Amino acid sequence: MESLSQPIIPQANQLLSSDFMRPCGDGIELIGQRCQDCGKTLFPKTGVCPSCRSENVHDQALAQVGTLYSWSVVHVAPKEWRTPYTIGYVDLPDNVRVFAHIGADPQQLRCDMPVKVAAADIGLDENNQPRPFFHFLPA
Amino acid sequence: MRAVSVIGTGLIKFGRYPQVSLADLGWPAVKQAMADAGVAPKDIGAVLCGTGLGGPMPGQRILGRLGMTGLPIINVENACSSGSSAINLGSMAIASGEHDIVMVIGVEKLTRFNGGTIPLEREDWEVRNGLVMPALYGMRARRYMNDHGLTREQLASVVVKSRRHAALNPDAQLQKPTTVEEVLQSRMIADPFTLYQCCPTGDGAAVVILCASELASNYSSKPIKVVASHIASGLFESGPRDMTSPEITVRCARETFEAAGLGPNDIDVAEVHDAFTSAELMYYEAFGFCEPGQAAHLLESGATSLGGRIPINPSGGLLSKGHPVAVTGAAQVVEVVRQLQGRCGARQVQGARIGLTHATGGGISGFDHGVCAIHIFST
Repeated sequence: MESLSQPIIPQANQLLSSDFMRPCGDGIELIGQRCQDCGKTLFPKTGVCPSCRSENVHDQALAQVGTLYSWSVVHVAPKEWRTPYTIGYVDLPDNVRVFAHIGADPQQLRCDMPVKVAAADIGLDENNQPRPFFHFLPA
Repeated sequence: MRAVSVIGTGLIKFGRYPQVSLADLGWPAVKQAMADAGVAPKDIGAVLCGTGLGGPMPGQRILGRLGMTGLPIINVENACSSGSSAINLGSMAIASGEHDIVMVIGVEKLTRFNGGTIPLEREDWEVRNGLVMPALYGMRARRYMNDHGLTREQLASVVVKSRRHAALNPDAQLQKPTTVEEVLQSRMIADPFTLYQCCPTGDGAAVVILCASELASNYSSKPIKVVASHIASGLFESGPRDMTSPEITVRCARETFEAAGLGPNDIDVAEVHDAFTSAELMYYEAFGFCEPGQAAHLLESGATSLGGRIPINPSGGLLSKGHPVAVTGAAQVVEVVRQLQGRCGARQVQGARIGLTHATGGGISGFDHGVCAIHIFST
């Protein structure tokens, strides 16, 4: 049996930290995790693999271009949001689906169209300041 | 394992009751169900109380009003399936022989949140970044429209059918008949859903009293058998998945039908989780009431209307009755049990012998839904 002498101090998944994206060229790239044991890629990163439960996961930059699976224009939302705004799911290579804001005029959007990630402020943080995040734009 | 039956039901009309406490929403439904079942407080072995957003110890708060305390009371949280999950646990408590009679409560007071969309867990990545439930269902609907050619008018016609049923149900919040034009002209909530295509929330309480079948006739003249009670949780999936087919309901339905030795053609009446218009259509397909992509055709054929082959949501469903989160699953059981007892007046499904209820719960990243609860009942 495993020794129980060491207490477990949880520290994975700093949910609201800003390390889910970083500058790349003249844009940004999203940072997920890749499991070093089974190869599963996950976004956002959690520190543990949902396929094999390994904690041997490393940061992994994701592709900047994917396809738009679907979207919705939100007109009613909690008060920290300025409506309307558009959200969607973007499918990236590496078998990752990313929940994202979509920056384009909704009239331009089509299912399966190519979209590219870019930095964008969304909503408001605890201090009523715009929150740095990302959105996807038609590629 | 012992067979389980429903011997009593209670329900308050869902609505906006900001001046009424959660405890006072609950006890009138408890009294109605106990009178319906013909049980005294001493007959009840345990209470399971489902609430999603009602705060701690709702069961104790409700039963304290009636002086029915000291017995085992367990509160159950499973989002929009809290009430139906409590029924599942209550059934197991009787089947195992631990108790003969169990009371199940679903209770919720949503007016305390001052309107808007149902509050979700802010630790969740997608919620934190702007997801609301109408938009999640909206994205599913959009993709279904893309893949199957479903139109906005067809989506709206789900509401027309819902209100037509609700007009016959005094317990429905929204009873006024409507038209496709009126539905589409109501204000936009999350594209493609206009206001009328989103279930209203509100406050509510529903109670179901379960009993060992071998003892049921001591209490009720029309006990209704629990043929199957089944719960599934969602599969976590971080990659692409097909959002036009609700995986958790497809799987849970298959498992439930297998357990019951029944299939979709055996069901006479069903209450399904029509939180938004597109959901009802996708569930026609998930249960096998029609083939994939044929849901709008099934609706337009009249098969799912009262008088049709398989009436769906004769109560008006969530779209017209309202959706007080945890109450929904229990209230669906109240409706189907009363249908099978032949007590539903103008909205009665004639000759109904086998009925089904279906409640899902969601709103967290990576899951189609977090939970799905399906029950099948028979006369």
